[in-house]
Amino acid sequence: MLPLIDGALAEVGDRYPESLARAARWLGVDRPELRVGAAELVIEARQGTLQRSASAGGRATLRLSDTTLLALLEGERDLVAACRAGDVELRGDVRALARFFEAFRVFLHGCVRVPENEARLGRYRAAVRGGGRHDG
Amino acid sequence: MKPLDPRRLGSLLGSLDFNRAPLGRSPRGTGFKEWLYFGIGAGPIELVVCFATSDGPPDRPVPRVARMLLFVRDARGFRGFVERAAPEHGRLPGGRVGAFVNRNAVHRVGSALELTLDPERAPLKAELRLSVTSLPAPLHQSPRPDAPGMNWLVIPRMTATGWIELDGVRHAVDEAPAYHDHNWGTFDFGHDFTWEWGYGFFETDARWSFVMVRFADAARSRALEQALFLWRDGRPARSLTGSELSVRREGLLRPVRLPKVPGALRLLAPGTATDIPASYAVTGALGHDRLELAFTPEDALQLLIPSEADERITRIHEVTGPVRIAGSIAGERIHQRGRGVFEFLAA
Repeated sequence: MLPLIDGALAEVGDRYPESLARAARWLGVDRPELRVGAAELVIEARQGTLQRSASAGGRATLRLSDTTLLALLEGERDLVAACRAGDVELRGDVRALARFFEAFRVFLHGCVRVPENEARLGRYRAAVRGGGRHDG
Repeated sequence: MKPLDPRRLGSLLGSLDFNRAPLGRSPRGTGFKEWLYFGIGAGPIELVVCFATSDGPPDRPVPRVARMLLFVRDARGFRGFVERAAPEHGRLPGGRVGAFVNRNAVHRVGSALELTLDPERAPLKAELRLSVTSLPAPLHQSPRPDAPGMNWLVIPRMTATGWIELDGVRHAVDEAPAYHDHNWGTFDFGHDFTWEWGYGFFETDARWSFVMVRFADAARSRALEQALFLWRDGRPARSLTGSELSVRREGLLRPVRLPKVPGALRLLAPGTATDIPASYAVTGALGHDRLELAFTPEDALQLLIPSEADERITRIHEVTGPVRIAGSIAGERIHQRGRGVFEFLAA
């Protein structure tokens, strides 16, 4: 999952920097934490853009499996249904979680407009469904 | 009536259906878009294929990317797929008739277009020869500066012959009704416009074909431009436009399921609520001519497009259902039933 996020952050930052700037404004000083399978990353707003943070996360944590993340990105599952089923775990301050979702919404809007992300998603799909390693 | 000359139709295809594909980018803040649309009504299988290309914003290093959209509806309902190609593997070549996206392609052979579908991830393959059986009509619509300045070439009636393989089962297609249009223009999705547009699949011996198009503002409170084009025996016969038409949208379709393409955008546009009408009726009157078009939406798929004006999502609903045209044109009574394919865009 990490190469998927890293690659998408880099491409969206390169081509639609205003998307990341708006996402960064939504996050403010929050550092939400995303745990997908065994991978963990913390996102923060810095210098008007979004990037991974080396600091510890706080205030909002989202945890899900690679299988669930892929199903959401493929449109096979509904986010609310996945939350209700317990396949997406949300922890933290409700307002921080809402800001995280808004930042994610803006980021995803940029991601879909970058053509290379389809191939990147394809590699993630192959790794998750084929049980292999995802190298991005 | 004398049948249409295939050589003339082939010549018209070559001179009208070529890709515009400008070499440069639009200097305005809007992106050039061009797409080739095909609809095939092969009995229990309804197929829509679209080869499309678009420029990103003029100041961005986003390449012109070709993609293929594939929507198929059978007894299981709609399914939708999108496939993109790297620039070397997908293009609408400028000045040429046809397109290719990876192993999917369309090219002209005389007065026919040959469509080959072999997508990477959809359970569908097809080889179809689409023979032109109606005169192409070039159209232009430009309702206002922030609405799409659209050029299109419409071929309302074709016949499709070949095969479609869906979920591993091959279906022969023998002179099934088909439709094609070619669109190009410079506009952004997300601005203050919507469109409603549709056509019908009728038996191949049916005399009349139609194309309906209507632009309105995003709230659908004000029609900007509307037209109903009619062909008789493949020849343009009547255009009803502006105040010669009245459109009634009644109720709302409440689909049990609403497939979305691309899937990732379902995260931003969840749910099955739409503003697709439960019934859509158009009444046209000009002199002694009268025509009624009644379309009953039955099933829908939602194509989601990131707005280029802001961070909302533009929804284009691909909708099929029974359609009927009835009335009288130049003293000839019309009564045809078939299947309608409509698009309802929600900004």
